[in-house]
Amino acid sequence: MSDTVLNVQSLTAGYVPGLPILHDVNMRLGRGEIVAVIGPNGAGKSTLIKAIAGLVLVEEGTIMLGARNLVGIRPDEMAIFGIAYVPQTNNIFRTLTIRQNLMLAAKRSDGLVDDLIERMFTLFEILRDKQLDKGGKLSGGQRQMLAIAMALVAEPTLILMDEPTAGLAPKVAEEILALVQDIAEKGVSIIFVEQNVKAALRISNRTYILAEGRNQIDGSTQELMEGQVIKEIYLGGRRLETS
Amino acid sequence: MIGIVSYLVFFLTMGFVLSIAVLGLNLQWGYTGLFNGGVAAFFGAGAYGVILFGGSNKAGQLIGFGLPYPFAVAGAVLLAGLLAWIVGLITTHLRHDYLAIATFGVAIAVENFARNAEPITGGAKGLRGFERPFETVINDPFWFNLAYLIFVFVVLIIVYNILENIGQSPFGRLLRAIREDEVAAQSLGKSPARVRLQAFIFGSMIMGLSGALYATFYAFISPQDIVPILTFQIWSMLIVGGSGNNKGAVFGTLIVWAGWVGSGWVLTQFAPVEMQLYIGTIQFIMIGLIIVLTLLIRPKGLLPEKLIISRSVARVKPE
Repeated sequence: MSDTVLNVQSLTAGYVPGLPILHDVNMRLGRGEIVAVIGPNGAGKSTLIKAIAGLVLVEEGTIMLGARNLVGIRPDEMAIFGIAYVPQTNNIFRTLTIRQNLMLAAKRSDGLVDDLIERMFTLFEILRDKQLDKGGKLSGGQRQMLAIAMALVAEPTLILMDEPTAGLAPKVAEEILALVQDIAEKGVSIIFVEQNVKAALRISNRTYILAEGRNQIDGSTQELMEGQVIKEIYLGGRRLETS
Repeated sequence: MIGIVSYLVFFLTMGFVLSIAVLGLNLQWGYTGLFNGGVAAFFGAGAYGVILFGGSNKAGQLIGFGLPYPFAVAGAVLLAGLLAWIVGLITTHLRHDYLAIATFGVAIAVENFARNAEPITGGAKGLRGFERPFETVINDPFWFNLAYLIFVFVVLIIVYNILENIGQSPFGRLLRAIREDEVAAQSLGKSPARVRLQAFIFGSMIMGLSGALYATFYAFISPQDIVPILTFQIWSMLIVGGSGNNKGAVFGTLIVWAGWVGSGWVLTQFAPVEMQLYIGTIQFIMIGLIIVLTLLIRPKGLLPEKLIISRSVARVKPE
């Protein structure tokens, strides 16, 4: 596999000390890879990427980004290490213009910001015309595009996305997922939580299935698609038994 | 005629002095979403500060540095900033309601300190005996007050422009982002704790400046000038004018201040004698009513916040 960018080992984490949501979770991610995290509601999918983003208390385990352990690093310091987090909701600033949102997200403060923003507008043409509108005026899909553009404008090496297609019309969701693939092709690694299993499997290189806060199944998406487990769980209606 | 002009000069001077405090609150609440319930504390720090730094030692008083006026004002502003730094380190991580309660408690503590620390603050009698700027040059009280009005107006314009520039700067953008969603700002690599503290300190320093100008005008300050109603007056001015909008902050100040002095005048002229004792109480009720009615009828104020487009963004014209 490609170079390991992120290696999560034996991660136990949760919102309240002593009441972990995640138990002994492992995950790894290569450069330019797309990793999907799927599982039933309450499985701890969002908690996992929040833990990587520093937003959730880690009780045990390590989150290695290259040689650096991210455990204990404040969420606002994650951007320094090239990590961008796109929350599921409230991921843009409604009272700022689209352009101001992008300027806020950019780490640079020099003249290159304009070039970076221009590149975002090339990628997300719809945002160019609306750049002086308030973020609150955007549709759900446009907001998600802006949120992804805000992540990209910070020039990350790793993007964590929490259900980027939640609540979007199927056509818009397809556009977003196509964008995720484009971004990964440029060498950015992506971990995304997704409810739409088919879509997740279609674009991801590897998939992790969580249930009740634990790793249940993981492997290359190819392997998972060829096996019976995914079909049975998601197409045959079998309940995922926890280990 | 001269009496009316004199009163107008007084009215505008106090209106502009209070406008500066309201602008400081607008930076904290309007821009950043910090619910400072202790405005009177920082106003008081500036007011006491200017007399302590600029005044000379009186009998029985421990402090009085006799510094030239600009240094006295600078000291007063720094004193308010120091108080804000200490209070802010402890409280700015709190959410709106808890921050309001905590800072309100600070204001009560400062008022009680002023009332009881007699060797420093003069106690309930307050501090007086302070040489005001231009006083030796302009002997006539009318012309002095007029000159002071112009001075305060210039300070207000400077503070207003600084805050407008902050509003249009990347820092202003960051303040509004943090006001809207701290977690989202954090996920973009911003530190809400640091930025909230900065806004709290700077806003409080502006309140301190307002307090310094207030105490300079009267050459006197006492605990009675920093009682909790002052905080509510300042808040009502911002709410009426429109938080997040500096023009609204100044406009709201002048409207509420006019209502305050106007109601006082009307009540003294026309209210029955037995009611005259309760004028202050009636005015307090009026402030409460203004806040409640504005929030019900026009929650964004008379001049609501406008979309601020920073200069660098305004240059960009979409095709």
